[in-house]
Amino acid sequence: MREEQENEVVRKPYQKPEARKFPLRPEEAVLGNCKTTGTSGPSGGGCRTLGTCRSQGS
Amino acid sequence: MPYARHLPFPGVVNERWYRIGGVTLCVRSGGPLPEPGHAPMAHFAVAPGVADMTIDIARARPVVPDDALLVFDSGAVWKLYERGTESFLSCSSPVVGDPYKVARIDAAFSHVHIDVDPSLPEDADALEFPLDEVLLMNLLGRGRGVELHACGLIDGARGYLFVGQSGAGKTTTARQWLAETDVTIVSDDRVVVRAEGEGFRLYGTPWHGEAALSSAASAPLEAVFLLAQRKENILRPLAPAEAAARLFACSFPLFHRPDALAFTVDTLAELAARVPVMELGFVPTPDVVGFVRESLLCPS
Repeated sequence: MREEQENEVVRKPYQKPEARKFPLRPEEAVLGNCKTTGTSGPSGGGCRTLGTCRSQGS
Repeated sequence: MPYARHLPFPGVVNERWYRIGGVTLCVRSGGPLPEPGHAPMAHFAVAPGVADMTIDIARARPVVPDDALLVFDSGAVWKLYERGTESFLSCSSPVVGDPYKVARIDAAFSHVHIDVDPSLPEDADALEFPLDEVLLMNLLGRGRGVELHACGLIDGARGYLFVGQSGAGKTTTARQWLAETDVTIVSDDRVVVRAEGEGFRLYGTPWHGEAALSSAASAPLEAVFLLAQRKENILRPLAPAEAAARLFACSFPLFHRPDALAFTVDTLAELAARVPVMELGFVPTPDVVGFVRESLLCPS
């Protein structure tokens, strides 16, 4: 009886489970694009062939 | 089983060693091995040792075998194929070629052979985006750690992460902290986290954002802030479930490998349980640095 009363005291009120969505950006998560040029991979133009571009989609 | 330093590789004339996120890479070539295409990579050079991954580079026509099966398509610059126990990572570009380089990788992802289109300039960096980072993603996803879309910094000896997707304010955050003494920015865009002892450790990467800030430094991870631009500086502690979910949305998991996905989720859940994770609503002014420091000293 006493144990039951103690359990009553510590029991938390019921909270209905809630599903929340957090957006995943697929093109960022898979290293899909260049954020500077919007093109894929070494794009010529501002890039030094396969050189210095570190502007992948981020 | 890592490849040992002493294993012979016929024809090696050049060799470079790097350590990124606690992972050691040995890059070898039978021909000229150009300087890394981006300066930050030089900060990650280490002395020869035992490699987690050995990468051999050759100039030969890049080919994916006809009977290899497509297992993942990034939708843009790279695709992954499998044939038997081997994987083939194909990189393409409408300008440079389709494919212009193909990496053949063993089952353990411990040995890679890259064929680079011989028509490309000799100073072409075979490991340039996306190959270097995709290879590391694969190594981390096999039980080692997680790469996060984050600005990472070390304040004294304490590591902090400021996590967010593109446009969240990672580079802005890095620039605000840059003026502080005894602060090292390990990257303004990509940071590796790994479990260590009872906690976690952050590692810098060569892959930076617009501020081009990068360091090979690492430190115990003391707190994680999910960036949210607001009209006032405000901190909101996050429950572990929300924290893990939001961190996952800013990670680079291996979507084609259920075991690696499970590892990433489990790692981030552990991180959220062991390290304080908060949403940092912030105004993009230098005041936020003092706000964060005070909040860490006097948590409410």
